Amino acid sequence: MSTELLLFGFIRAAATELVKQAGAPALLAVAGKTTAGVAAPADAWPQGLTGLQLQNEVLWRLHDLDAVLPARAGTIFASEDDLQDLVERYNNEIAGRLELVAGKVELGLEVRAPNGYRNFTPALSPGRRYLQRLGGAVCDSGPIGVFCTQLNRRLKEISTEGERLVCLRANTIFRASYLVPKENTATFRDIVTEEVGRMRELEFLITGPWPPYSFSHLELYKDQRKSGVIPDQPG
Amino acid sequence: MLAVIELIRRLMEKQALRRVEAGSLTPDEEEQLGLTLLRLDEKIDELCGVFGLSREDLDLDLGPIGKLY
Repeated sequence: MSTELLLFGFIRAAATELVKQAGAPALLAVAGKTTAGVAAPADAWPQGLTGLQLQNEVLWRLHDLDAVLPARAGTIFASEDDLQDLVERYNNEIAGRLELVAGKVELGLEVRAPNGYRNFTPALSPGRRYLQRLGGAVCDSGPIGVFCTQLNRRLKEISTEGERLVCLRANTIFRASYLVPKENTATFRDIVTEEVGRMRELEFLITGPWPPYSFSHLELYKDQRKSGVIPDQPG
Repeated sequence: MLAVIELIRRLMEKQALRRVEAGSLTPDEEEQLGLTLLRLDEKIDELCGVFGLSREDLDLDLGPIGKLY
């Protein structure tokens, strides 16, 4: 009888020995040509928030030791053979992404206007107001828009990749994730402090460093989603 | 027929929001897009009035996807 596996992420095959140092005894590495999937028997892993926190700790340790591409939470494989097949099939793509994220961490940034951004930005025009009513994160062409563009540009300069998610929704005017080389994390904080300091009434929150959750971008998810193995991204 | 038009309009709105979220549009393009969708929305209201229908009457059962509204 085969045991379902909960996939945590992918590492380099040369780093499979590091799995023993990740602090979770049930972990196993299913190796392909040059990459490996890190997983645990689903029935041996804690459920709910505890399981997710433990999973995050494992991923962080593995990423700190070498490099990891996190899988989406709740990714289940019916058997070790299924996981092996996937790792073999997407070996080159996984290897390429691992090379990209090695030595980098994900940092998140949210900038908020606690008293509402409308206090210091002109009213939106009718068309853009309609988009915002639909739930769209409409960017502002006034001072806030200039601020967001400048902030995003400076942070991208010290990052490998950046994912700007929203601006101008409720009181959040900027939300983004960046893949930042470890040595640039202090510079990242300095830039945010400097740029946000120019705008009165704004608050910011930097999250992370995290393993590169937002930067997996693997094509394999398309195939797996079709077969119902990997859950869709929320939203 | 009006329900099908409403379905297409809703799909267009979803796609428009994806473009906005992706940040690939300029403020002018966003304005044009928003205005077009706004006018389309108003036109549907107008057509509902002509045929004595409410927006709820245009609600389609999309099977496993759920209802349109």
